[in-house]
Amino acid sequence: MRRRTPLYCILASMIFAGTAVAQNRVFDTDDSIDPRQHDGAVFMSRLIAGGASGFVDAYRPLHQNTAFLQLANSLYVGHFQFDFKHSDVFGKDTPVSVCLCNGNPIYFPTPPSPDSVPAAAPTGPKETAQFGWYHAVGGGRAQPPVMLRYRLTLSWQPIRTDMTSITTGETSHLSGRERSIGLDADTYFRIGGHDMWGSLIFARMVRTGTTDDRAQNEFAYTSRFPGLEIRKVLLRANLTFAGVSGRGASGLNIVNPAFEAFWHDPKTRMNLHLVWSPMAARSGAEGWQNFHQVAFFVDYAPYVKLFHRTAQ
Amino acid sequence: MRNSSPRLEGFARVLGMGAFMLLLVTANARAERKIIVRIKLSGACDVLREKGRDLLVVLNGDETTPITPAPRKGHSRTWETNWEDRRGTTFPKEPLCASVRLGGGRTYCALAVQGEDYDQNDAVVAEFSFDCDEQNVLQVTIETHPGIAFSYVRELKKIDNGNGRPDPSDCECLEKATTRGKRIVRDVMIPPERLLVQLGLTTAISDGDGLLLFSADDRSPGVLAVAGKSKLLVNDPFLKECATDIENGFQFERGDIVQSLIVKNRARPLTDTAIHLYEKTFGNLKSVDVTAVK
Repeated sequence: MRRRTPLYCILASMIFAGTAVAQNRVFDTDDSIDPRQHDGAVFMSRLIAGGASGFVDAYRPLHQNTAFLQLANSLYVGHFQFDFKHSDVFGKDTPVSVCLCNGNPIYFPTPPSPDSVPAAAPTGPKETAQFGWYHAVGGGRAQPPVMLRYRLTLSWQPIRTDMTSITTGETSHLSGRERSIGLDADTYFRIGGHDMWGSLIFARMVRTGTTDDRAQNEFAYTSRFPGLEIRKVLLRANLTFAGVSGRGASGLNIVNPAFEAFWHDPKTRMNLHLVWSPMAARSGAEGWQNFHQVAFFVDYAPYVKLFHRTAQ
Repeated sequence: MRNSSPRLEGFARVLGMGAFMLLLVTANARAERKIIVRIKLSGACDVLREKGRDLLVVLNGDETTPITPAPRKGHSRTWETNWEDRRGTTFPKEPLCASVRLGGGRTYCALAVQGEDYDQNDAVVAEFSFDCDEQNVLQVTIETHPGIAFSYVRELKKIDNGNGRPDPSDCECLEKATTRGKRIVRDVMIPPERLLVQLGLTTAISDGDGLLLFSADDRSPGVLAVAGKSKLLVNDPFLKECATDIENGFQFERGDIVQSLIVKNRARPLTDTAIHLYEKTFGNLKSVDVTAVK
């Protein structure tokens, strides 16, 4: 019996593995599961923890480093998927001062102007509910059909802003929120014999009751490229093009590649991710600007329950 | 003292008779579910002559419980057995598809025709006629350590009968089995047969994903290939360098199997969450041995 050294595993082939789907937050990993992978319903809890420098949320930079935690509970039944995710982003609370000048409140620090790239919502907890549907397309005698997912996402984030009056020193607070609704659809086509995987995303986000009330519509396409394995590390990349309203620049105003090194540790059964996501964003006031986000996080499934069908 | 009216009595009588008739009809319908499966083989069939092995018949793709017909006295190359058709609609209204394992050969899948009952009992006879295929086959053993449940799917495409179309009596050969621990997959015809192993699944999913051991399709090649008559080779570029040689085959470790599924996924790029699901379905699996002999 001869055990071949895993050292030679370096020379693995080109692969077709997808990175996280185009997501608003870097740690919201792709949770799609092909219904043909399980023979009954599946319930899975996933815990994701990590940190990011230059955190970006929905193409809006937060301008600070953050830590984050997400607990995602997903139920997969047949061709349907239901998720409830609680996430929390931890960062610095920026103190807000207010001046009631001429009856109009002026906030400090001053929020970005309406034709600038808006700032992300302040750090804090966020709840997300999702409903997904899987649909098989294509296929033939030689290849199985491709399984695509269509998903509705609803999210809600309470935003509490504590303010200090510049003139009186009194403190008060605003109770605001950010709500969003989004639809995303997986896409698949072949060009020149190559599989092209991607996602089309439409989302609307509204922030009210804060010092920086904004609304934006996003229309984005993310292309997921074939990955490359080096030893046990999977290198994968995606590229997002988006048009986002509410920043004084119409048309294509976001180009956002993401490069990820992914490693699955078979002993701990954890997935480790290191992501670099440089984003170029165009606004009416500043033109093109670059923002760099680097994140490291771990995702782990502490609880997975399989509801096997009876063996036939 | 009788309280019931004659009208009520009459109604009860009619109801009773109706129930009795219904019972008879149901019993008759149940009786019709029992059919005779008859296998007729043509061709030289040296495999059977030389080894005198029993036939195994896989009916309607159920390889978990194949049936073993006995030779029919007075009829050469003919085997029969009783079988209960548990489907909602039974043969002959619903077609019946089967293939035969010869213990050194196998047939393609064919549809049954209604045959004559040799015993004159008016029994329903599903008669299959096969040409004894002499193509090389392997006895493939799959063993999980420790023993976990697994399923497998065998697929054999219809063959061209010379005019560019398959024979109308052929049927789709998609055969599934679920087992635990160790299983000898009998008479695997490589090529062109496709053999997909789904570790941890208690129901085989024919278009699902898993460890594709053998495949004749260049676009999704199998992990293994056969050189010469029965020597196995690892075809998969990743597992090729990680597999352990054992007698007549290879041992694949759990981590390498998971990694190979991450690297190569037929139907959709494997997501982070799907990897967690694989880890769960594999349970406490440590390794899988795949061996093959002629």
